[in-house]
Amino acid sequence: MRSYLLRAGTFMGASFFEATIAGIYRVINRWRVWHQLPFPLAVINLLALRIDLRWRNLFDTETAPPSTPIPADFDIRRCRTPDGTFNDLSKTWMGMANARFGRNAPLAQTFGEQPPRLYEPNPRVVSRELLARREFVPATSVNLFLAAWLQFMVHDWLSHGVNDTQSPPLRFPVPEGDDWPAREMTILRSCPDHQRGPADAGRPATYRNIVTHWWDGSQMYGSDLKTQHCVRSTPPKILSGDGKIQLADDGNRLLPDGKLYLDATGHLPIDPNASDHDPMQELAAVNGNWWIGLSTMHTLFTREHNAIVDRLQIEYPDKNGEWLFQKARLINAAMIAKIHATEWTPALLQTPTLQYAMRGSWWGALGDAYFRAFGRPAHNELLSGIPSSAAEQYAAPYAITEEFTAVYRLHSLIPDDFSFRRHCDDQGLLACTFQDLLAGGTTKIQHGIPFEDVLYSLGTSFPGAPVLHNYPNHLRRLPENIDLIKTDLAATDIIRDRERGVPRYCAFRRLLRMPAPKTFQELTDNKNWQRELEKIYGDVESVDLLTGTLAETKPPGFAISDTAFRIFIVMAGRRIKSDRFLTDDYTPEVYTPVGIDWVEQNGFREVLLRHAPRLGPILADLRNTFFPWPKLVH
Amino acid sequence: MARHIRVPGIVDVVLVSDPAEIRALNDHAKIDRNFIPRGPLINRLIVGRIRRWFEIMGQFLPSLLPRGDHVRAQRQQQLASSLNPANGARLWSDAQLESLAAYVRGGGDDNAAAILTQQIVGRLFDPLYCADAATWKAAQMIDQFRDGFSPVQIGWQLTGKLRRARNLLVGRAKDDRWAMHGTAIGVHGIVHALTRMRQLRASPMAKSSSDDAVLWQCLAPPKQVPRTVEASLETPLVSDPLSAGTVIVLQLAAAGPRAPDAEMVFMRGHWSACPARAFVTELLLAVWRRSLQEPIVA
Repeated sequence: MRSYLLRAGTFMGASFFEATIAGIYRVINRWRVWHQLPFPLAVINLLALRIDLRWRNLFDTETAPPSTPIPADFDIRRCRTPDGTFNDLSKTWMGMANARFGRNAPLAQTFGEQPPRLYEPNPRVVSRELLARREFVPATSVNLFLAAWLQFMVHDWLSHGVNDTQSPPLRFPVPEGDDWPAREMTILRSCPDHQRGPADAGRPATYRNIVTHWWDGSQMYGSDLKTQHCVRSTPPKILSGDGKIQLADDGNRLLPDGKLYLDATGHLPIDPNASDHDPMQELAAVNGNWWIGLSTMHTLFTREHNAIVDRLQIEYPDKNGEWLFQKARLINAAMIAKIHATEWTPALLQTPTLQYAMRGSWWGALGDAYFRAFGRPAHNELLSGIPSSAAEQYAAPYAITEEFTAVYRLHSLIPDDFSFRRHCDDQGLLACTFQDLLAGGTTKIQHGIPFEDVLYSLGTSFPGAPVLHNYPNHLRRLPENIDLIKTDLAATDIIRDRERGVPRYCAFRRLLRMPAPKTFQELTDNKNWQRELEKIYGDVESVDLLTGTLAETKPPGFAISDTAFRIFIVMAGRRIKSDRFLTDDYTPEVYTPVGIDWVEQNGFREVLLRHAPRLGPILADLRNTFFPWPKLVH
Repeated sequence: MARHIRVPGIVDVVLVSDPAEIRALNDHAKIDRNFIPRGPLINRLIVGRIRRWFEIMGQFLPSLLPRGDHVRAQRQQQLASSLNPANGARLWSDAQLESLAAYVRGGGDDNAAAILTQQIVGRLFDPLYCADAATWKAAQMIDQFRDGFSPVQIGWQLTGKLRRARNLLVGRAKDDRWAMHGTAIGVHGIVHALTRMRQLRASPMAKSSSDDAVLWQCLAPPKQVPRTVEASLETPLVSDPLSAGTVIVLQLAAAGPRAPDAEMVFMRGHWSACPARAFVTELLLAVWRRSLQEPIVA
């Protein structure tokens, strides 16, 4: 009887308790935004927002999910499959590679824009007049690892794949006086969903995520078996001691001990499929948009994988390489998720409320000190953190969403200029531009500068602040790609959201039940930006999501806008809460006791020190390794 | 999972708001539309209400007839053909189209557009059908009564307002159950769509929206439709077994944002499909295209 009554009072599947909290705060938030409330009320407000968003802003786009055959000779219960299938055992296709992106907006609001509005205002004008970096605006409360980590994570979660070369590209004129080398800008369309069926008739366009949606380290381990075996094997092309590429021995190249391949110097190998145009590209499961930050993250966590294998080998000497690989993958991926929740996000959102809330998502309201003393006393998300609770999908099967993709467009974090310095005395080793560090350029740095110094240089550099007029200029004029098209990534970012039907800024806020600005003055406090935005857009309703979130006056301590943050609230927790391996099966039985210990006892600092122990004095007093590192000057 | 509200002797109702679950339950062989008084108290009240207000001379309105009803099936097929503009029928006049387009551009008022729409729908069944302010008000009352319980509605019943409204519409429909359904119930979907279309037309994105985008941003499913369980059944969609007489409420409006398509709005592809789908979508698209030919009213 009790359950009937409780369920009877629910809204869209939320429990009575959840619906009540969410309802109360919906009323409160009409007068006061969450960050204007006192600490305890603000924390509960965040909880209420997450409940509200979980039940009202998750939409499934799949109409005919694929069938998924059980892989032979694979323990789907205790290991992550390469393609992400069988994570959810009732909907085995959920979150797999090539599953559709979901949505945070009701589906009827996600039809892609058509011309003329698709090109209004001109994306190149937005890029030039509102986004282009005039002078570097640093985010001085964090270091460049924040940007590198973000891209490392994004490559784990999502990719729209190669753009569409078959359909006519998007074309729009370049305004008079622009220094773009052509009079027209050409941008290939997003790769369309080739598997739409009759049930999709009349529905908005859908797009597929070519990597697994799960937080499973697929950027390192791949989203298919072939790629996974590739990073686990001695590559056919290896870099010899003198920096030249050699051919390795033929034969079975899969490493027998479950490790990922690193060369003799502890760096990533050369990609055997690297183009002649860029033969020095490093190998990783996902190695597109490669730069020094991304390369460093891959190197660090590949080394970490191998360290975990070494530890497991000591504890379980009779286990074979496959078992060691699979367990090390589970452990490494979970630790990455934990670092993101408890270190990266609190660095990005530096308010006491968020520090508490984000750490609470992993350890619960009782906190990490309680956890270290007593473990997780309750199987309850609120008290003991999401990893202690059962997996749940809320209003839709788990999928990364297009709106999440859109708010993670944070290219402004990338600086245009870099300097590499020695960790022991901060002496300059190399000054270069972002362009020098792209793709194969990274390999030269990694092999020419000691790894500790690369880490130190990133840790002591600032990323750009995500604000207007801070989009890296190198990304606004990328050299010709494989399709022989020059790219202005800022203009591409603008048009992608329009093309994929991500609502514009005001509509986006309304769908999250946030007040939409009626004037440019309500959008931002910056008087210059108000004028500039009005000049380009004319009507505040036309402001693009990206420009709006960069211009928006941010809550105190926030590096990102409150608008983007709402999507973060729901999706950050969801990546953990939906994943069987981070909830129901986050247990010593599945991870091994050593594995659970490894995840819980280690963080980014420990990973850095394990693989670059000489950084010890620098990191000694650092509260968060994503904060700027002190410079050691002798 | 569908929500089952069951208090023995009092109520036994299942609320379904997920598109896939709606699809599965609507097509289940043991789930139908047989509104016979049975089961617990509230179920009997729900059925009694339907029987009292939504039948004409002992016959249910078509959207409440069981799937095995031959007349319903035949008429559904016939209407799907005759109400399809692609088959050459002239279902609205140019003047009517222009009036609705003018409304979408921001001219006129809501009531006038609604009355005109009711007239267009009525004339699908009777060339002499005449809608006016009274019939539209009556249809609004029936629509509100259909979707909920409230003290005001009890007042309507006690004072005879509801009966007078119903009788007016039945009289104008000349006792035709299909005409009554169209002019009292079905018409609201079109009127709501026109109201949304007017908002969309005023927005900056009006000229850049595809036909599909316009349709599915404007059309919305009815709030909910009832079904009855005809024999005991177990389904993974509901935690407990269901027994004969359980009322299943398909909450189409709640499912709509998750499935903006003809399946949820018109139950396309199911036995209970609305035969007016082609008429409604073509009328709305014609109005939209006409509205784009001239600027909006400031």
